[in-house]
Amino acid sequence: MQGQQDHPSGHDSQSSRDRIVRFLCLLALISGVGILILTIVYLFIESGIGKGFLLRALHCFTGEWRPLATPPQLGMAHAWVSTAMITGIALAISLPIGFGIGLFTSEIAPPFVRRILTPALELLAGIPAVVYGFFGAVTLVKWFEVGFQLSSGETILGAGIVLSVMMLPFVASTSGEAFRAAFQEYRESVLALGVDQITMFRRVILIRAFPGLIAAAVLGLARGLGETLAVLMLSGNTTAFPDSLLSRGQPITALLATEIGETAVNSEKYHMLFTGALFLMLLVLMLNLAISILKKRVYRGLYAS
Amino acid sequence: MESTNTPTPLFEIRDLQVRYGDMKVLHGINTDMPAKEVTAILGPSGCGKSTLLRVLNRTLKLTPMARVSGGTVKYHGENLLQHPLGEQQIRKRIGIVQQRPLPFPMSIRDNVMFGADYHNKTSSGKKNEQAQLYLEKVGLWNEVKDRLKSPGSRLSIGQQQRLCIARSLANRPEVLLMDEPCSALDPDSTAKIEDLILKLQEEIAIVIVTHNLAQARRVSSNCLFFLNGTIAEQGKTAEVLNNPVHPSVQAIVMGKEG
Amino acid sequence: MTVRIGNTLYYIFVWICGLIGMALPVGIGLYLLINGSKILDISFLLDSPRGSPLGSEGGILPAILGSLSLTAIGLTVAFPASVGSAVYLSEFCSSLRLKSYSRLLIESLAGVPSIIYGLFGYAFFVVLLQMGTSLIAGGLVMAIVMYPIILITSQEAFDAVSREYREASLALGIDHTEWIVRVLLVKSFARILSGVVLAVGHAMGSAAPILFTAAVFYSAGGIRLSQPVMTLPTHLYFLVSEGVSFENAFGTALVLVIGLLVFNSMAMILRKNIQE
Repeated sequence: MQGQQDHPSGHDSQSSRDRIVRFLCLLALISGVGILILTIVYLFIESGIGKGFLLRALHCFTGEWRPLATPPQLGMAHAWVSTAMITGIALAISLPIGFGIGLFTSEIAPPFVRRILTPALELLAGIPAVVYGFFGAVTLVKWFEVGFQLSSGETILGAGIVLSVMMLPFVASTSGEAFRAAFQEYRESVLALGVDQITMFRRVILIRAFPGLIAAAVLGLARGLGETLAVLMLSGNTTAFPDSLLSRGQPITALLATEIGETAVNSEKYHMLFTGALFLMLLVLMLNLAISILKKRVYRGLYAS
Repeated sequence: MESTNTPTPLFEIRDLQVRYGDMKVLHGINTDMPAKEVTAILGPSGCGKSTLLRVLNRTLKLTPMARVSGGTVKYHGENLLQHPLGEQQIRKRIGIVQQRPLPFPMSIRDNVMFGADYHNKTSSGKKNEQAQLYLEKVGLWNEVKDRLKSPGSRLSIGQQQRLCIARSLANRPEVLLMDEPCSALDPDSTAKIEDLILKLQEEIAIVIVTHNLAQARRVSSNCLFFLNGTIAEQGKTAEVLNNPVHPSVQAIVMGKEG
Repeated sequence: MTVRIGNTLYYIFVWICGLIGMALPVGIGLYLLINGSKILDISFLLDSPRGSPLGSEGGILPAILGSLSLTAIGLTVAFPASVGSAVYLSEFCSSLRLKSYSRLLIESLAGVPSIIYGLFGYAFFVVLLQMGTSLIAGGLVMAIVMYPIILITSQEAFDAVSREYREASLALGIDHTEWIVRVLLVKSFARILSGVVLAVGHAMGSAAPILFTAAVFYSAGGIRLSQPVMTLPTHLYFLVSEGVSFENAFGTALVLVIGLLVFNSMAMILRKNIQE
């Protein structure tokens, strides 16, 4: 009798059209999530997983890219290094400025400035990558040619700078949320003690907002790693190993975009490109997972208090 | 307890237990509720009053983790929780009015006819007629007759609550459960709703959860006094409120009215 | 004393960051506007690319049409799929664990670089399913890119409709379909729409997913499902990378940004309407 009367939540009685609607919605979910999962699975398949995969993976990170040599060498070390350098530069620029903007919008800015800045940042986030690439090409690249006396102004540094602008709105809004939560929690009680803004920031807000700031950095990193068009247009797209900030490079996304259309399906090169794509995706997926967990922690902290 | 000449009660509740996850909210409720009378449910917040209404209206399962973990509820002598009419019909017959009025995103007329139209497809002309009937019943007709097509959310809170009552009445329920229907309202709107309750009791049974002891005196003939998920005291409203036996009930009644 | 200097520096730093945040979008916008408006006129919008090298003269009409049709196909597939999925998760799914896992999965996948979806589309639609580089292949990849975005915003929209509404509706004895169609979807309509606008803006501007699934440098034919198309972002990319015409590139970039601006301000206005 007890079992009979147990009504777990959710199992509500359904009319016949409810069952049809439920079925269609389930179908939508299964096909949608299914194709997203298929994407992951398919990258594994196309990277020729199985025989020789580990060797290929190792080579992917360490070898040189000389597809025309005999035998062809298909390592992507130069691309991973370029990616690391460009995203490194971009983070180094966009984190301090982005956190500054986050602070500005959450605490310092007068309300009317905030009302302008928020949509302005959304505009910045809405500009397509290809426009950023073009914008960089007609400004930074030209300036670099003159300023550093380069034969070609496309550099790792320039790509990094433009990428930092692209990351900025994400870093700013994510860190801004974290700051806002921290200020809401502590502003009154801390300022009531008579301390100034910087002290409150250093001793209380920074610590409280820290997980959110990490999330902002990880989000920026994930965006930066996957960014394609802008870095493709600005990095110089050369397979040589980058040796300075002003040398040309080819991040992994640019390599993929350049080569995939010109590669015979199921050739060794094709598998290698997909191996690179697979690792890029796994890297970004891991970062996204980290963001979700971090954000949960930020909010949990917020509600717990 | 049951003599042969009294009719079967509307609800017979025996040892009803409800849990939210691991937390027990109702610890064995026992009571009978008569038809065509007003029963008030009193007691401090969080003692399971609203939970009981949700069990009766069969909407408890919409609350996550909530379930009936024991006991029986009979409705006209049949098991309410496994009633052969099915959940939707039960919800139609045993309507509920919530604490916060929630007009649906549609016109005043469609708000009133939302449930009724689902259960019984009506033509547009009939719909207007029906809507008028129920709006008149709750005393809202004169206030809204010129703007039946405007959204229900434009009304004042007090009007919205009467709209929600009209919406339940349009289902032609046999019982109307009311969960603190006046707690969000001003005294004037409260008075209107209390008048309405007194008028409605000639046709249907009403179970009203309230915080307000004076309100219970004004509108109800029977009352259940809840404490911590059990019924501490029950009987005729006047008797319970004038001569409470349970010490905690005494304290509350004296504290609030004395 | 030092504390006070620190405080001043803190204010200065934060203000400078704020000003940078405002200067960047304004600067980029003005720069494109000034340089792009020279070329931008009706004939630029309504003409095909011409000249030698091709694209150095003429307009961008095929690219505009291509972008619109790609987005339309993507939306036609992604919208019902994502809203349906969101309805299932918030209305019919009784397992909290399934709900939170699928949410985690979808949020993670929403952040996957769009070039990855482009590669998948190339290997799966173009090569395996033999669609070739075509509007339909690119449209399907667009749908994959849009799906998680609309799904997440729809779910947030549904979450924002209070549970009390659900209870109040179902308490009248109506079925779930009636509640979903007449209350839930109506109440969350504006938010879902702003999610759609976000997804459309995203899809219109990205070149990576379609670079090798749908786009060509020049297409003379009309818009056909089995044929490749020109699009605004890829057209801009080709103009710049091949050094065809910076003037026309400015015009193309301006059209793209203004188009997206219109979409984004629609999203903002919608969001404001909800808040009121």
